[in-house]
This record gives sequence, C-alpha cells and structure tokens, in this order.
Amino acid sequence: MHKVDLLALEDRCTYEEPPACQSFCPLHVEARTMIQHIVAGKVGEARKTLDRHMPLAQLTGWLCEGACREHCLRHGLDAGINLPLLERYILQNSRSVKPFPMPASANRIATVGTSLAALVLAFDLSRKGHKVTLYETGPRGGALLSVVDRMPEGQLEGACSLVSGLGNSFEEAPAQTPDFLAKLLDENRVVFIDQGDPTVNPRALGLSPEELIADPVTRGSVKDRVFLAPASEIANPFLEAAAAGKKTVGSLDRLFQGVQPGIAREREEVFQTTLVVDTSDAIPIEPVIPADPLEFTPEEAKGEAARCLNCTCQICLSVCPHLRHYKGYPKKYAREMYNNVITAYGIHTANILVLSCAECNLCKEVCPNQAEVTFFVQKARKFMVDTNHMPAAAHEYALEDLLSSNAPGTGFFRLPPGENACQKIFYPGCQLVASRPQTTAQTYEYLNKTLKGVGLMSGCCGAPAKWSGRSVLTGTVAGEIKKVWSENGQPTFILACPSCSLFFKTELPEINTESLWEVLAGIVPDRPTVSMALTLHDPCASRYEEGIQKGARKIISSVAPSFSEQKYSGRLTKCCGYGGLAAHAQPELGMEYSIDTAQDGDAPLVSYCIVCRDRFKAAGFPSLHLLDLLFPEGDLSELMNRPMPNLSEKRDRRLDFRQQVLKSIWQEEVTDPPKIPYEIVIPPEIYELMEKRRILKGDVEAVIAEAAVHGPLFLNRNNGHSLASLRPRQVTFWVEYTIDEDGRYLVHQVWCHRMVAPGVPGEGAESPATLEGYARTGGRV
Amino acid sequence: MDPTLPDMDIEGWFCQKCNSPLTMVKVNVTYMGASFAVDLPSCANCHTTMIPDFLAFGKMLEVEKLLEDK
Ligand code: SF4
Ligand code: SF4
Ligand code: SF4
Ligand SMILES: [Zn+2]
Repeated sequence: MHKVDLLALEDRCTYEEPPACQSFCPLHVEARTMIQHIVAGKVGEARKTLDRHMPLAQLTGWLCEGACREHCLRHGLDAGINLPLLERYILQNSRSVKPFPMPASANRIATVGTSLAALVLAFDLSRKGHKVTLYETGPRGGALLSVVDRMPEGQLEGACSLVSGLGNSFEEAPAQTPDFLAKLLDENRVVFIDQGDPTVNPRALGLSPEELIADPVTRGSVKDRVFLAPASEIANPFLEAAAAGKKTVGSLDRLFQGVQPGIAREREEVFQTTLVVDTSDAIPIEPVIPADPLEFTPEEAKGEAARCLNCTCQICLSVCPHLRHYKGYPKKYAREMYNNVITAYGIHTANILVLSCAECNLCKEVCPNQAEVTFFVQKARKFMVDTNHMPAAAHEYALEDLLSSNAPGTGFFRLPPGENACQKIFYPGCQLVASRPQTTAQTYEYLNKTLKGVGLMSGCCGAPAKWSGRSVLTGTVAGEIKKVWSENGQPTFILACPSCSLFFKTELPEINTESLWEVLAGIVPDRPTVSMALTLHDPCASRYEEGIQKGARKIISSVAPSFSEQKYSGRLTKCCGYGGLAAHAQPELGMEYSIDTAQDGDAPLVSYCIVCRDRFKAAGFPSLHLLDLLFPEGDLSELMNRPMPNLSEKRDRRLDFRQQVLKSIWQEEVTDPPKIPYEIVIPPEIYELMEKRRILKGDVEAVIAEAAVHGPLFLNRNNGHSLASLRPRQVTFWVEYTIDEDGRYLVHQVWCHRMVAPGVPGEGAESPATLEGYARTGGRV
Repeated sequence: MDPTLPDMDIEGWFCQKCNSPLTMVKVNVTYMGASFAVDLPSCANCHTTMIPDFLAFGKMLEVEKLLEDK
C-alpha cells in the first residue's frame, strides 16, 4: 500500500471535477451549488456561493451575459440554464456579507481608470488590507456609465462608495503623460492600467504596443510592476474585466509574498472539464420565460433552477450498491480507505469500506476513466492483514469453510477409477459440492465417460484467502493444489467455478486450465427442451472471460433456446455480493447486492456459479444453476426453490459427497466418521439463532464432546441445566443443555465471544498465526 | 472502558467441580491486544469464570466491534 496506489485511483476518478457551467465561467462561479441553494429556497446561501467567486457581485452580477449557457449540459437538450437571470434574482433578494477588516499592509497600489476591473481590484485588495488609489481619468465608473440602465438605480454609486468605504480613495488624475506614470510607479508598488475605461490613454502614458500586451493569466505587462485590464473589444467585456481584476489580485498576492506571479495558476482561464455526466435519462424541460424579461419571480427562479441536472458523475454509483450504501464515490473512498489503512493507531472507521467491496471490477468497466477500485481494495486488505489490523471476525467463517473443505476426510483427489494416470482433473470447487453433490457426481461421470482419463479433486482453491488479503494462506492452499498437479503428470484442470478460474489464472498460472462451460459446450448432452422462461446471469468472476460466457450460452441455448439476457451481462455483469467476501463482512449489504443483481431480468435466473444461484434464492428470487438443466438432482421447480444451505449443512454435504462418490464411483470401502455415542437435539429456534450468531453445529458438538468427557463447568440448581464451554479456535463457545432420560443432549442456549479472560476456557489461546497454522495442519476436523 | 453490568442473573449456578456458588469478581478481559476490567461470575474456590449470554452478545460484542475498528 503506497501513496502511488492512492494517487492512481484519485487521478482517475473525476467526480470532483467542476461541471461545465463552472469551468466555462470566466470567474468560475460554482453555479451548481448556487442553483441547488435556490432550489432549496436558501437565497442567502446562494449569495455566499456567488460572492465566493464573483468579486463585487453587486456590479459584476448585473453585467454577466451568460457565456456558460451554451456549455451547460441542458444546452443540447432544451436550453442552457439561465444563470444570468438567476444571479440577478439572488442579488435582488439577498445582501452580501460585510467583509471582515484585515490588518493594514504597507503595500500601495494605484489604478489609472475606474471601470469595473479597477473597482474589482480595489475591492478585493482592500479586503486583504492593501490600500488602492483609483485615478479618475474621466467620470467615475468608466465604461460602467454606459450600462447603468442594466442595473437598479444607484447601484454604481453604491458600489463606488463601498470601495472607498474600505479604505481606498478616488483621486482626479492629472494629464496622462509618461511623467505621471513614472511618478505613480515611484509612489506605488504596482500600477494597474484599466484599459476598459474609455478615458484611459495608455499611449499618452508612454506605454508601447508591446507593453500593452498582458499575460493572459497574470495580467502582467512586460514593463515591470505594470498590470493591465483588457481593452473592451472582447466578447463579454464586463466579465472579462472582472476576471482581469481578479487575476491581477492573484498575481499581487504572489508578488507580495515574494513568489513569481505565474506560479500555480492552472485553470484560471476557462477550460474543458473532464467531468463526465450521463444525461441519457434526462428529460427535456422547457426553460422558464419570465413575465418580466429582466427579472425572475421567486417561483420562476425556483422553476428555472429546478431544471439544473445537478451535474455529477454518478456512473459507478448507479451500478454499485456498495458505493451507494456509503454515499461516496471512489475518489473520496480512496482517501478514506488510504488514511484508515495507513494509520497504525486510532479508530479505523473506514475498515468497513475496505471490507464491503465485492472486488468485482464493475465500476472500472462503467467508469469513463477506468478508475480501478478492486486493485486498490485488494492492496488495502493485504496491508491490513500484514500490519495485524484485519478484524478477525470479518472473514473467519469463510476461511474456516475453506480449511474444512480441504481437511483430510473432506477434500480428496482420485485418479479415474481403475487407472493409474490422468490427462485431466475435474475440479468442481467447494461450493458446488456443498450445494449440488449429486449433480457434481453426475457431471464428473459424464466428463470421464466422454473425455476419458479424467480424475476428480474436491476442495477449495483458496479464493477466499485471497479475497481476505491473506497471502500466506493463499500460497499454502494454492501450493497443495500444485502438489497434486505435479505429482500426477501436470494434468489440465477443468474448473466449474468462474472464481476458481480467476484464482488459477493469477495464483497458479503454470497449471493449464479449461472452464467446464467451454468443455461442456463442445459435448452438450442431449436433454429435452425446458419450456419455462429463463434469464442467464453471468457470474462477476467471468467478466473478462468471453470464452466462458460463450460456452454458457451455447449450453443454455441447447436446453432452453428461448432464454433471455440481463440488462447487465457479459462485461457489465453485476456481483451477487459474495465476491470479495463482501457478504461475510457485511451481511446486510451483501443482501443489497443480491437483490440488486437478481432484480435484473424478468424470468428465473440461471447462473453458472452456484454461490450466485444460492444467494439469489436467499434474496427471494427462485433461480437455478446451469448444471441443473443438464444433470438435475430433482425436478426444476424444487431445485429452483431449494434454499441456500447454511454453513453446517455445507460441511455435512461435502463430507457426504466424499463418502458417496468414493463408494459408488471408486468402489472404495469408506469408513463412516465415528458416530457420536449420543444424540444432540437442537430446537429449530436455537438452530436459527446459531446461524445468526454464526455458530456451527460442529461447534456445539465439540463443546458437548468435551463435556461428555470432562463434565460441564457449571450446574444450575434451580433448573437442572448444565453449562459447558470450549475454545476450539479464536472463539469461545458456551452450550447450556440438559440430558434427558434417554441420554439425549437437549440444547437450551448457545453463545460465543472472542474475548479471553482468566478462568474462562481458552485463556492464552489467542495466537495471530492460528489460521495459517490450520492451513499447515490441514484444518480442524 | 468499564462496562457496568445490569444485575446479572447468576442465580442457581454452581461450579460443577467444587460445588461452590459463584461470586462476582473483577476480571481483566482481553481482545486484539486491548484489555479492560469487567465484573464476572466466578467460582469462589477454583476461579473458573463464566461469560453469560447477555453479556457476550451485549456489551462484549459492542466492545469487540470497537476494538476491531481500532
Ligand atoms: S464513474 Fe465513478 S470512479 Fe469513474 S469518475 Fe465517475 S465517480 Fe469517479
Ligand atoms: S445542468 Fe446545472 S450543473 Fe449542469 S452544466 Fe447546466 S447549470 Fe451546470
Ligand atoms: S463492489 Fe464492485 S463495483 Fe462496487 S466498488 Fe467494489 S469493485 Fe467497484
Ligand atoms: Zn470451582
């Protein structure tokens, strides 16, 4: 996790870029914010926003001709927002905040001419404590005098007295000669020539044509200490004049601090923003035509303001429940996550941001700049693990599940029955086996019969370890697969799960793999056509795997030729919430993902990842796995509604799968695991509570097994209950039970905690290496 | 941090081994490198200690979550 990772993401996300109205405004008024204040009826706030960027708004605001309008995103749709009239509405219905007096500086500045640029310059400088003398070469106000009819009466006089009230002074200029300019330069640090004032005669002051060309950003002349306002033959003279005054102030700020006036002046001119706004859903709305063409009524102003699209980049937010849930955008998240992760001490409130991303890459695909969140989140998680800041609870159950899938007695590898070598290995993945054991067995038999020489390996590839940022564990688990591969003549792996495919690609690149969906596409078994309507879902791990996606389509079209597609499919498919273990770290958000994805499509979904299928069903959407259409273990309506197995059931099914398959396909004598010599009765409501508290049936069995040998820790004399406890991993479990006359254990309550305390079972058991230790010993049985 | 506990229902519980009643004692609980003191029912004789359900899923869980975010 380095600063460059943060910058890479920050640079790409253009969410904070200004909207076009602002980037094309010569003064960069934050029109979007201002308009939203009008919509909310907060004209005073709108005025504050206007004053922040528009100097001397009480004059400038009346003279703006709305250069932004043709850049407004409404322009092509109906008509650009009428910002000039909205600004006038604000000016008439609010008062500016009195500037705060600043300590006086010794810097003296003079202007020749008193048009808008000079007034703006004086106004802004005096608010910083500088004193400006404005030399009148003609009537006060210069070019402004010709436009007084565009503003309310007395506005110009009011503005001039505001300027002088701030400590500046107006003085009548003597004859404009080179001597006069020399004297001004003598008495002042800087002289500003307001060429917008028609009575100013720069040539008479002795300035050459070259000296009258100003740098467009600093407004500086090649003549030392002379700054210039533009002459008025430009498109929007008044706004340009105000901008020139403002830019000069920026130059003087630097000059007075001993910095070059040209330093750090990006984007002061108008510019093309890089903000991308999706306007495809925007509905045209006729612009508000005011009854009085010079003024909006409050209703008219609100109406016109309401047309604003409030331009922001919502593109990734519109597709990602995670980004929406925490009301942010990648650039902001990146900063929060980065600060969170690199802080060693203090509260890590952004942990949850790092942990609830599904690492699905969809945002990158929809983002106009391909901002990559997945990569950043993966790095952040790894960093959290490496610095010991990963909350144990976040992924523990997923990792336990991984380890138990690969534990001796559950995970296994077999060469094809009756053979001593194999060309291929079918690797169904830990979840398919747990959810569809018979389908998995049938698929294996079909592959071995059709392709010949196909072995079978049951286990978990290690993807959960990678998702959780644990590189040591990832390496250990991948290493076990590699061992089987190299000891058996480096066969090709046939992978059923798209997440396994992704994992093999990055963690086991030396192993040759094929996707089951590509393999089956070439040898689709003959099946009667399914008449019901179905919608195909691409698992997010298949996002970049066109071959896999095509294979899946070939298969489904042979069985259900009238299947339909989701709106978000292929490269733009959405995640079910399991990716990146998001659903483990944040179950409620995990459900938001599932619902969001399952809603897309009008018929029951068919996925070629069993986790998606199970999660869609859990979210209330009947769905199927693609193999259900080829090798069903029941009828489709039952399969479609079959609930997602819970953690305990998954473990049992994997165990059963091994026993069944070894018995029936390999004709092996398998010894069933030793039966516990007593029965444990868990009432359904306790079982439900256990799933919520993430307590496995096996955990309860372990506590009772311990109690059966050593007795419970506590007895209750009032109700005859026993209480036993055990800490088999980084969790202490408690089981409250009674034994009935038939010797059955009746469970009354189950709970657990991670803390340790002296006298409580498990004291001293906390070891950060435990999980890695499990990996080495093959897991807990 | 000192979570004060509601009146704990430890009525009726005895240590199975010593047959002695439980009494409330201040115990240091540890998690993710942080520790804090809490009153827990403990055997007066052998000091075997209990963490009851409502505590494990109430205050303790809150504290666990807090410490995880640390
Ligand atoms: S799509 Fe998302 S990541 Fe990309 S620029 Fe927009 S807000 Fe930022
Ligand atoms: S729609 Fe609103 S935010 Fe977008 S460019 Fe126009 S005024 Fe600005
Ligand atoms: S969940 Fe997917 S779309 Fe959302 S931020 Fe993470 S990678 Fe992007
Ligand atoms: Zn005791």
